Amino acid sequence: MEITFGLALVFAGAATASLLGFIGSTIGMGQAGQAAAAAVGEKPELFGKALLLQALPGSQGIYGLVGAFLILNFAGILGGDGAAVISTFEGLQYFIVSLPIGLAGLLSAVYQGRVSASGIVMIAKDETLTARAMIFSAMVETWAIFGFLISFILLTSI
Amino acid sequence: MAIVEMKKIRLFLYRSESSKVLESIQGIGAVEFIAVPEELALKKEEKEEFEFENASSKLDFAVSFLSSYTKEKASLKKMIEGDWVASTHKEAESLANSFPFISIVEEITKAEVSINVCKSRLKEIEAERETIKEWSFVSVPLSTLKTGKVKTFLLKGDAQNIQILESELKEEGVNTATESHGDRHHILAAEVDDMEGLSRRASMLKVEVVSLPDRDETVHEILARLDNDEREVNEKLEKTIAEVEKRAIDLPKIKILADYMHWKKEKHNLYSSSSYISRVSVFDGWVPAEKVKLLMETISSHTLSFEIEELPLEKDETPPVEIKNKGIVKPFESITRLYGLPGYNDIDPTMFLSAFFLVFFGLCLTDVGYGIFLAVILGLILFRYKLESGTKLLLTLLMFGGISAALVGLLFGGYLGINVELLPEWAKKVQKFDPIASPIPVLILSLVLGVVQVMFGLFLKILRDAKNGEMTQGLLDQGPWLLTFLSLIAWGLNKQGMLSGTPEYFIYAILISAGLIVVTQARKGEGVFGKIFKGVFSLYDSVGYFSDILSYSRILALGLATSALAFAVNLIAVLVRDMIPVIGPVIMVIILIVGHTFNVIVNVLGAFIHSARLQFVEFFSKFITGSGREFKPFKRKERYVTIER
Repeated sequence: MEITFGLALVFAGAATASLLGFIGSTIGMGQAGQAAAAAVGEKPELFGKALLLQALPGSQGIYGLVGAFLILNFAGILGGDGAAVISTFEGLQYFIVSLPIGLAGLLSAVYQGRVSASGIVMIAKDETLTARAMIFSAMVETWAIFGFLISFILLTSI
Repeated sequence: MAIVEMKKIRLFLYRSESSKVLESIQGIGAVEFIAVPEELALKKEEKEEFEFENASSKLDFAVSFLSSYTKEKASLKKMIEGDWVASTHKEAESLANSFPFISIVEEITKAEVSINVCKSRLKEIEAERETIKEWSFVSVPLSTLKTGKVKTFLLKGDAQNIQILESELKEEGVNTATESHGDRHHILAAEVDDMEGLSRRASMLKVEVVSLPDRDETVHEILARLDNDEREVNEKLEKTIAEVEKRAIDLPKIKILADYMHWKKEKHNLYSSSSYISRVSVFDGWVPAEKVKLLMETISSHTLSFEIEELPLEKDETPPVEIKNKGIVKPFESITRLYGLPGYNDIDPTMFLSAFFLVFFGLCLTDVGYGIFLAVILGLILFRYKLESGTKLLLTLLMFGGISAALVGLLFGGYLGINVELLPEWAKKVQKFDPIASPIPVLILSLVLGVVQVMFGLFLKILRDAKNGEMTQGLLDQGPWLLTFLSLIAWGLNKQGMLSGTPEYFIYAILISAGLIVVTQARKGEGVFGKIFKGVFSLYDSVGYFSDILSYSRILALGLATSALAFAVNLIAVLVRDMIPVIGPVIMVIILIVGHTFNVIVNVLGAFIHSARLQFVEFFSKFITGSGREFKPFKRKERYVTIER
């Protein structure tokens, strides 16, 4: 594989898409996890439900991971014959692809984590509200999904 | 199929018979009792304590206490079904008469006290041992340390500080002697009377004067005694726990009784706060219209002297809401209940959302393998285990979702992330979409589904208004919007060449329907300018509809995420197989199993939440106006027991 500036940009894109998502999910799940630990300390039986709510801001990390894979795959680096030649301009396009999913994932995961944390407080008060707490949290995820969608459409248009 | 019609009734019974009759009403669970209005100026029964109040709370305690001492192993069956005891009302009744629960509950309470006493004694012993252990080199009985002219002090501190203390004492002419054991422990013998003064002086030097219990025993003797005590207490504790564990065999019976007493208590509370006039008790309540007959039959099997009167609704009074669906639509009630019940005057959305939900769920999961996996696992669980009714409905719903995902997977070529090129010829033939290579058709499909559901929601609003005798309002409000949607669709089809006709006509249709929106909405404004403003401003709603429809594009994104992640799992597995010699294939299989299981879980969760969200936010908002108060009948609450009928 010939290492060109374009190829490096593709790598930068894959790294950006995944890293931003990972950072967002780390912050989001961390925040929700703190609330979960507090709630479970009071009511150990809430463990399963609190864990579910803590897991929700994790999807952005997954979208980032998937995004990185798709970028590498479309650029012919993964699963291709390994002879991908990528111009600087093409590489730049691959890098731009990473931005919607990366940035939307980062911010939405952080805020989804906050909503999840409040949701955990909510179920600590009334366990029957678990599903509604999940819906509140999932509302924020919408923007990560759209970010993923736009990134994907950009990717297919390169 | 619909929202259950409720009747408001007033029930008259003889006071002497009402307790018995209430018990049978509790058995059918058909009435929600409400307070009798105060204007009637009826007398209130004096609220008296339930005779088994004490037993009831102690039974509840016994259940939670014994549950932590059952020796039964946690089986898979228990994990799935939960810890329910199946019973009948008859069995509970005969248990209450035959099973000596009062003495057993007393015994359990005593055992609990004894266990707690033992545990705290063990802690005391441990604490005493901790403080005394470090002085085991003191070989005289502790009580002799402080008698006589020369007193012996046990000091804890740095050796040099002890020396300072000793020299200070010597300067004052006190005879002293010290003996050190290790760096921190020292014995000081001194001829002093002022013991407090010495302690103060020592603490200034950061030396602690330790005082041990004043006993006629040496440290060794005390330690031996503590060991002995500990052994005895442990024996007693073990014996008590063994007794409790033996008692735990009766846990199912105690659970049945705990529920039985709880029912009795609730009935008693209802009766003892009821209203009456001379010899007649009066109860108000809500009954589903279809259950009035059952209620009358139930009461008449106990007494013939009763009267049920239907009450008119008061102004602004809305009955509690209960929804009822049959057959395959029933599981979708879980979705409706998740959102909260619709208002009493609304339409039950369950039947209408079911088809949409299934299709969306299938599109979000989009995989033959995952769909079959989900359907088979849940099918087995449902077939094999007895589940609580709510869980059963939810799992049935997910099982349907699995089937739907498998069917959609066929159309989309989703087979555990395997490239369709590698699949047999028939798989390629059934495939109609390829979301990875050309996502745009799938995006269009998602948006079309959105348009259909939003329009259907508007249509249901007209139905809802018609149900409440406001059909004209409904037609005026939703009709022009539906027309606008239709003409926009026709225009789009015409542009794509799928519908023939002069393009201008379609533009005219759009403009006319938009004009109709302005005209019909104008009726809500006050004054000429108000009307113009209201009418024109209502066009702004189109932004709302536009964003609602775009929101359906998540269907494509979630489906893509599933297939892309499945593809990534396969890719990693193959890379690992090629990279690691000999055991590569084994690790590949492990990665495949773990990876795909993870993917199923994550995406089923996502598919469920987002398909439900599309119902709640985009669909329900079009035709559900109120939120209903759930119908909560007076019944035998199943807390530990499931009643078999």
